Amino acid sequence: MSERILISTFGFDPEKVLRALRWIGYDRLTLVAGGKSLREPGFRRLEAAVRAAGDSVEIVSVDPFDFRSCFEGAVGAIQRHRRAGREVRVNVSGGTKVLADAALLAAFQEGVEAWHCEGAPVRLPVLKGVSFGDSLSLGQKAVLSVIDKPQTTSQIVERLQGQGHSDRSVQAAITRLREQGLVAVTLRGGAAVVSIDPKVKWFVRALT
Amino acid sequence: MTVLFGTLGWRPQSLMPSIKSTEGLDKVVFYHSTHEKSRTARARVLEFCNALGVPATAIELSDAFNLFQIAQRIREDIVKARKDATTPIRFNIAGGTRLMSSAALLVCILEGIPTTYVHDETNEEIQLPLFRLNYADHLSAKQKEILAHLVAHRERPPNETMLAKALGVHKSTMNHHVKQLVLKGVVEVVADPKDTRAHLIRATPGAELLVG
Repeated sequence: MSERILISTFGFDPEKVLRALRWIGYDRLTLVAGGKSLREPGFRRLEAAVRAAGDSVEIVSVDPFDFRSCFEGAVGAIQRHRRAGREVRVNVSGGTKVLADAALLAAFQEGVEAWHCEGAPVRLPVLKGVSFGDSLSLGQKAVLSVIDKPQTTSQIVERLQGQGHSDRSVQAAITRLREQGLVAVTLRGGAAVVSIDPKVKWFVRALT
Repeated sequence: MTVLFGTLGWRPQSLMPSIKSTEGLDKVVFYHSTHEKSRTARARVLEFCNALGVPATAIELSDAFNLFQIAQRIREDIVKARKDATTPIRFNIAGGTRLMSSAALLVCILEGIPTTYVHDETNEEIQLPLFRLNYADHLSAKQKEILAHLVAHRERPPNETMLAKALGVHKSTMNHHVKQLVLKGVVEVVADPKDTRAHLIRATPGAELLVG
């Protein structure tokens, strides 16, 4: 049986993590938290409890008010542990709302079990092993990988034809990506220009 | 014309930026708790919407800490809003309890709804990177059908044979589907309390949100 990692968001209240430790099976604990939380008595209490069991706490430090920082911290921790062959579960009860929401989105993105342990433990309906990236076809991923800056559809087709993608499949991939809200298509000088919204570029990159 | 949904806590400022920024705002629907400060915030949001001439519906949640109950309610309202009109929907998940916000995000992920939050200090509206797709589409049509059946029979979960019969598939085919659903974590196989040799198939909590 593979080692079980519990990745938990954390703010100031150790109870939310301790509840998760009681209810969700785990071998090692990773906390995703803001730096300030780690200097508070709540963290010392939690750390002492985990040490009492002979374990240590891994810390992923994030800005708890910045969605991207929280999301990238949580996704990074999930991916690192999964690459090492560990089974990952995420508890999204602690920390700021932004941190909890970002960790929830990270769990969906990576297809790992997610829990809320505010009162009674609640397992959230994440499909295990299914990532957002699975919604993308090879053609869609190929398109996303070449539009680091806005490009016309003909430029994209030209770049991808060398990789075995036909004109038609590239056009279909762009249409689908637009429907999914991942790219924008605008008309410039009579040509259709495809671009990724700069605000979500960091997320789209994580998909490919 | 857009319908804006939102969660509201004690600070009207968490919802106001989205009301201001939404183009072609047709209607505002927002959820708040029974807390007095939340009701005060509700009054201010309603006053602002009234001044703009935008119809607004405030929905008071009896339990702002029951994640699935809140998510079910939000999902029902979203599905209704989609049926009533072809208007696009946006959701601001910044306000309310953590569970209100998580419930709203959960529904937005499942339904593929454009989502924003508002930064606590700067009041800047930030777009969340969600797909516009139905999350349940990661399940096959048959898997959805099985899950829907199990959700509808949550009180009396069937065994695999009964499930296969009810849905008109061969037992071995059902076994394959059940295994896939177990792997995805939306179905569990539990011992039958009346017969320890037998097993029942049960939908995991929250599966309603995938097939509702």
